[in-house]
Amino acid sequence: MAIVRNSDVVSPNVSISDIFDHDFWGANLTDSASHKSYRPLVTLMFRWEVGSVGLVAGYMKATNLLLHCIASCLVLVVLKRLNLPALLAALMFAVHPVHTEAVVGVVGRADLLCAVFYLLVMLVYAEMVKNMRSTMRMIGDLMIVSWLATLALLCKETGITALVWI
Amino acid sequence: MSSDTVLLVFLLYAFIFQPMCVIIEILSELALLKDVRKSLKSFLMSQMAIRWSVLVLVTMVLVFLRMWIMNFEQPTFKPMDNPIAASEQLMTRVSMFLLLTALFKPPSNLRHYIARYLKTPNEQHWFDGCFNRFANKY
Repeated sequence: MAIVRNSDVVSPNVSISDIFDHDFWGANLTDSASHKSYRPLVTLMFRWEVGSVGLVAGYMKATNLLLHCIASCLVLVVLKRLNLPALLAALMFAVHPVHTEAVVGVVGRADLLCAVFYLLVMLVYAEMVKNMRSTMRMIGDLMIVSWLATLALLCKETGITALVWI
Repeated sequence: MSSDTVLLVFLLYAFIFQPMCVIIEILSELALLKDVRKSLKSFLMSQMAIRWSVLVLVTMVLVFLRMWIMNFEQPTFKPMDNPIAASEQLMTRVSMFLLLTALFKPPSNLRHYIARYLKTPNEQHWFDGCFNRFANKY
């Protein structure tokens, strides 16, 4: 539904700026029937994919798998930075069956992209806290963190917790 | 989970839980030092204070923008969107969240364990009793 019958993804005559007014199912956000799921970055990525390689499920699933690999590597890096048993945890993250729904279904892209940005937020923040730097440098890092959290929010609503977690 | 549940949970987190943590940490920090005014001043000048205030501010702005883009309206869901949540039976709705718990059958002698737990004096852990019982049997 969110991909094959979503005009935002499939038809090229919908403009890019319209995507930022529409919900995940291609309906208008202000519409009363809309589910108010605002994930424009995911829709944008689907559109770019469909435009470049066509509507092929295999490619989209391969992209999901790649994103999951990136997320697993990020788990390794983040936990290493926090001095936790990183390799074991990252392996468990990589093979854990709870991620099946996100990785196998193409619409799980929202979760995967959100996870990647979320982990990047954690990484930058951990780096920032660990190294005592000048205040200007810290404010720069905080801006990076805020932008990454905004990107995570634009991929899935749960991304807002990226800042709350810290 | 539906969007409005998500939003509610995060509003609670952002506006109640997070400030609470900050206040608790400030208070515990203050309790350690005697000169309250001085330590408060040094805290307010610290990088941690800048970080926290920026994070709280950005969270509030993002939540506001997210609600602004949906016109501050809640989505209306039809039963078709989530049949289990629309179920009239309470048990169905509860067991959706407690899926694993619902799958496992409680032990038939559960009330013995509960009674033992209620009878056990505070200084002894109820689990010890269970183990003794096990050991006596075999």
